[in-house]
Amino acid sequence: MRMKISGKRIMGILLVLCLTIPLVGAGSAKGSVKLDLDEYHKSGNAAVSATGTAKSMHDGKITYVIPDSMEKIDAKDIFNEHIYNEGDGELYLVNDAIFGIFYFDSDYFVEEFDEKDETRAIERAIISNICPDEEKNLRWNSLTLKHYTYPTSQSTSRSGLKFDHYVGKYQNFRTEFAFTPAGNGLCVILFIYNHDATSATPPISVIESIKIGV
Amino acid sequence: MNLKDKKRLGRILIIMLIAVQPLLIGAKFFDLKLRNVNRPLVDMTKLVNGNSITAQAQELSESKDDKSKPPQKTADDKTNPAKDDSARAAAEDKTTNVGIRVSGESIYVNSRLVTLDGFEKAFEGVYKKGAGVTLTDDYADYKVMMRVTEYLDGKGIFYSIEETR
Repeated sequence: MRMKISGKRIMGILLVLCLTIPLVGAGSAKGSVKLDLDEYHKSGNAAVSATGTAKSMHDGKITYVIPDSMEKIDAKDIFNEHIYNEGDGELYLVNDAIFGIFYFDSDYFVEEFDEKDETRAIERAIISNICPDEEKNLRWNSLTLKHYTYPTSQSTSRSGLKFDHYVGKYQNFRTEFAFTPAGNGLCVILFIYNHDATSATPPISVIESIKIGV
Repeated sequence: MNLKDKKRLGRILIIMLIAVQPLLIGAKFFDLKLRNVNRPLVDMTKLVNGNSITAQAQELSESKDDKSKPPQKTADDKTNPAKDDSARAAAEDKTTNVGIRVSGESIYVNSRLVTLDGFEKAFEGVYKKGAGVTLTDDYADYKVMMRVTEYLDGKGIFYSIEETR
């Protein structure tokens, strides 16, 4: 009789644990997204800029249009030397914000062969690499099931490309990431700003213009 | 505990293990390390500092060059260094337009960086009566811009203002 009760108890406790862990995870997951503004891909109905300069990188496989309002930044010493030497990255000043786009070569940057398809894990690693403070927010945590917070949102561009979005922080700057698969890697978009009133139109315009060839 | 309960407990434990397994395994390979990143993918320390953006726009892009650079820059300055007096004198003869660009606190006269105090002299060096003057407001510092416009207004020189934003 005594055994029977304790058996039931164990079952009950395990059942409750099993049910509550994901709830705890989801709860804290929501709390960890401190930046309460909408991500840039959501804010407003931005149209693709009428005038701009057509650009390409990664041997012409990634093409996009840079609006005239953007001013190029010399990216030497800012990008990792591999990205810079391959001509696979560009940075722009747009009003009081920085816009960046680069091709992340999984063959070059990812260590294990079988990890190259782990797109989400690669994306998190990229975020942690650029914004080291985000690492603790993205690391796997069995208690809170942190990975469920990533990506913070997703979108599909007009040309049908699927983007994963994440809003990180670097010093006093909000750093927005957007990723879309491209070739053996990822096309990464950055938007760095520290004014809430920053217009999201230029980065959205570029995102909408991105086309990825085979 | 009778046999039936034991069986049920066993079954529940197995189901729960199966349910939790992917989460535990996930922990193993969901976090990966990048290689070749001795230098970060994007070095944020060179882009921003605290509350301000430290990255600088590249010197005038080609399209903007056309607007603010006078025609004399293209032919003469490529073959002769700008500091060469004879080249400058030759260039001045052909000057039809003077481009002044105020970028932050820096002043460029015909794309040459000049100091605030040296601005007037540099301007007089290249300005000929009747030449068109284009003043480009490239995120200009207010005080520097004021000083330039006050000087031009004081001299009665007509100029057009362009903004790079």
